[in-house]
Amino acid sequence: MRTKRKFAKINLKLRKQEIFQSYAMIGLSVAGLALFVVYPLLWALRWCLYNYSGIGEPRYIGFANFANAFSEGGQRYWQSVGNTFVFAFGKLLIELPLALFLAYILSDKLKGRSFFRTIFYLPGMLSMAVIGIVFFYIFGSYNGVVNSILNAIGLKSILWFSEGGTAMFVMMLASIWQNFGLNMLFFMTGLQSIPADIYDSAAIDGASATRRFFSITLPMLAPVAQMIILNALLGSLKTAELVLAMTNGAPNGKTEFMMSYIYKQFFSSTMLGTSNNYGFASALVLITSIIMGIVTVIYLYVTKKGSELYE
Amino acid sequence: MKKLCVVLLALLMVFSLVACDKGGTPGKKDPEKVTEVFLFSSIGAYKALLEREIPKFNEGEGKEKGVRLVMETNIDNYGTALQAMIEGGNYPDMADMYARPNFLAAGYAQDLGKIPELKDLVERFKPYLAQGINYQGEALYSLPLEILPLKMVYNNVIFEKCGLTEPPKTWDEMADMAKIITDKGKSEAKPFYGFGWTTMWTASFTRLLMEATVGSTGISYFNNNTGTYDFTPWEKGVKAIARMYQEGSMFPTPLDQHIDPIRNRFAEGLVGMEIAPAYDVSVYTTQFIADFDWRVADVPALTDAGKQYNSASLNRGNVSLTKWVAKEDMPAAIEAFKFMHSKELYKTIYSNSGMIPHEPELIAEVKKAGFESMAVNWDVMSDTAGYTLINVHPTSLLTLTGDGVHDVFTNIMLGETTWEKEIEGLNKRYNDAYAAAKKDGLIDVAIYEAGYDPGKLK
Repeated sequence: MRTKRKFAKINLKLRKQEIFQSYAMIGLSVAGLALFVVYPLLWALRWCLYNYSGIGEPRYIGFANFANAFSEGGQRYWQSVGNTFVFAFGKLLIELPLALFLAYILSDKLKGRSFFRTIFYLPGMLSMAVIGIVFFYIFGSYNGVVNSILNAIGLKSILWFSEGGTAMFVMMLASIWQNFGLNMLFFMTGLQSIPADIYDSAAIDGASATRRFFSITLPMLAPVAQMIILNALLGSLKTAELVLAMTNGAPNGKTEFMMSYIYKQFFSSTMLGTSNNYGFASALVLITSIIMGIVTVIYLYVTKKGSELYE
Repeated sequence: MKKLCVVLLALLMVFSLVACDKGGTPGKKDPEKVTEVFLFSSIGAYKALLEREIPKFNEGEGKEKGVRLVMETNIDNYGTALQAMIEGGNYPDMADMYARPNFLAAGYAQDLGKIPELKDLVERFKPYLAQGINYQGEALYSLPLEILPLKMVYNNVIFEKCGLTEPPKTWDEMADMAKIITDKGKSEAKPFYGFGWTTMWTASFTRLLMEATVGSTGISYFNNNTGTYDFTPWEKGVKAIARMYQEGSMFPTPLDQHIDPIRNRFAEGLVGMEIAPAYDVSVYTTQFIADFDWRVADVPALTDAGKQYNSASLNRGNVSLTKWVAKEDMPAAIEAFKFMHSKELYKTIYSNSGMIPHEPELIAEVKKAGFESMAVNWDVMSDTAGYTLINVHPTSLLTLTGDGVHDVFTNIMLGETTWEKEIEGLNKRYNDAYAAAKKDGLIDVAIYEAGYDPGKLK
C-alpha cells in the first residue's frame, strides 16, 4: 500500500515536471508570437482610426479610413483583392495537382527519388523576392531568356509585362516554381500515412491503379490535403514580394495584390511621392484580415467532411 | 560530450556577436580623442568623389580637430531608410532632409541660423537661400548644394543615320523623330529605338517630363501664387509619350526597364533620345560609358508656343544637422558640416563634373584653373544660362486618395484611359489633398503660397 502511494507520488511529480516543461517550451513560442506578431499587429491596428504619416503627431479621424476604403478611394484596393484571388486560385489549380502527382510518383520505390525530391524542393529555399527578380529577367522584353529563345526559333518577342494577362501568368509561374516542391513533400507525408494493407486488399479485389488512386488515395489523403490546401491558399493570398520585385502592380494595377497595395500605402513617401498613410494602410490590414478569415471559415466548412474521415 | 559541444557552440556564438561590434558608436570619443560624426547621405551621382575626399579630410583637417566623418549612403529608398533608422534609434548626425518637409516639420533638423559657429557659412550662402528649399518659414535647415539642370541627351550617330540634323524643338517633334529613328532601327542588326523611357521609376513623369519642361510652363504643377495643383499644361507632353509608346518608338518596354537599364541601353547605342538630369554626365562617362558621339540639348518645348526659359533646374540643398547631435559632440559635428560645405569640396566636385554650385566665383575659379576631370559634354550640361529654378511644392506632405499622377500618366501612356477622362479628377484629387493638409495644419502657407518669382539664371 505504502509502495503504491509512493509510486503515485513519484508519478504525480513526474507528471507535474512534464507539464511544466511542456508549458515552458510552448511559452517561448508564445512569447515570440506575442512580441513579434501580436504586439506589432495591435500597434498597427490602432492607427486605423487616425490620420498618421509616421512622422509628427497622429490625428484621430474615427472611421474615415474605413469609409475611404469602401468608397472611391478604395477602388484600387478592391481591384487588388480581385487580382489576388485570381492569382491564388489560378496558380493553385496547377500547383497542387502537380505537387500531388509528383508526390504520388516519388512515393514509389523509384531509382533516384531522393535526388528528385531534393531538386524539386530547392526552389522553396529561395526567397520570393529573389525568385521574382530572376523571373523578371528571364521574361524581360529585351534580352530576356524566353524572348531570346522565341527569336532564335523565328518567333516574335512577347512583351510579358505589358499586358495584365501575361504578367499575371509569369507571376503564377514563379510562385508555382517556388512552392510546388514544398507541397509535394507535404503530400508525400500524407501518402505515407495511408495504411498499405488497404491497397493490398483493393489489389486483391481487382481494383486498377486509377481506381485505387481515386477511391483510396484521395479520400484517405483528405484530412492532410485539407490543411495543405488551406496553407497554400492563405500563403498565396499573402503574396507581396513577388509584386514588388517583378511588376510593382503594372500595368494599370492589374498585377497589384492586397498585400503589396497595403505596403505601398504604408510607404507612400518612397513608393508614390506622397505622405505615408499609416492610418489607411492599417484599416486595409484589418479589412484584409477579415477577408482572409472569411475565406478560411468558408473553406473549412466546405471541406468539413474530409477532416472527419477518421472520426 | 554533447553538453561540451553545446557549451562550446554557445561561447562561439557569444564571441562572434561581440566581434561584430564595430568598435564604438558614432559620436563617441575613442582613445585617440576623435569624435565620429555620422552622415547618412542620399547622394549617388558623386558618391565616389565623396568617398575619396572624406578620408582625406579625416586624415588631415579632421585629425587636427579630432573629427572623423563617417558616411553611409542609400540612394533608392532614402526616405524610408532614414525613417526606419530614426524609429530604430540609430540617429544620424547629418542627413538629407531639405526635400522632406515632413521630417523638418517633425523637428528632426536643427535651425542653422541659431548656431553662432555657422554664421559666416550662412552669410556666404545668403544670396542663394530659398524658401521651401533651405528655409522652412523662419528656420534655416539646409544650405545650398547645387543647381541641377534637366536636359536631353541624343545619339548623334543615330541621328546622322536617320538624316536628322537637329534635336527636336517640341515634344510632338520628338515623337515624330522617335518614329523615324525606330523605323530605321528595325533594319539594323541590333535594332535601335527612338526614345528611352521608364515607368518603373515612380518619379519619371514628375522629374523627366513635368519638371524638365518648366522652361515651357514657367512654373511647376504646383503654383505657389495660387496655391493650386494643375497638371493641364502637360497634356502635349503626356500625349507625346503615349504616342511614342503606342507606336513602338520607345525602347521595349518602359514597364520592365528601370532608369539604370534604360540609361545602359542609351550607352549601348540602342536609344536615340532621353531626358537627362545633369548627373547623367557621370553616368555616361563612368558608369555606363557611351563611347560614341552623344550630345546634350535643351529639353524641347511642350507646345509650338515655345519656351519662357531655355529650360529648368532643380535647386538642391545640402545636408542638415540633426537634432540628435549630442551637446558635447556639436563642435565636431559643426566641423564636419563645414567640410561638407567648404569651397574646396564644392570646387572639387564641380571640377570633376559632379555638380554645379550656386556661387559663380567658384565656377570661375575652376574654369580658370582647369577642370580636374572634365567629362564629355559637361561644359554643355553644366551651362544653365537662361534657365529657371523649379519652385517648391508640398506633394510629400499630402495624403492622396486614389491614383497619383504617375499611375494616371502611365495608364494614359498604355492606352488604358485618356487624358480627357482623367485630368479633371487628377487635379481635383491633388487639390483636395492639399486643402485637407492645410486644414490639418501640415502646410505652411508662408512657404508654399508665398508667391513665386522664378527669375532667370545668368
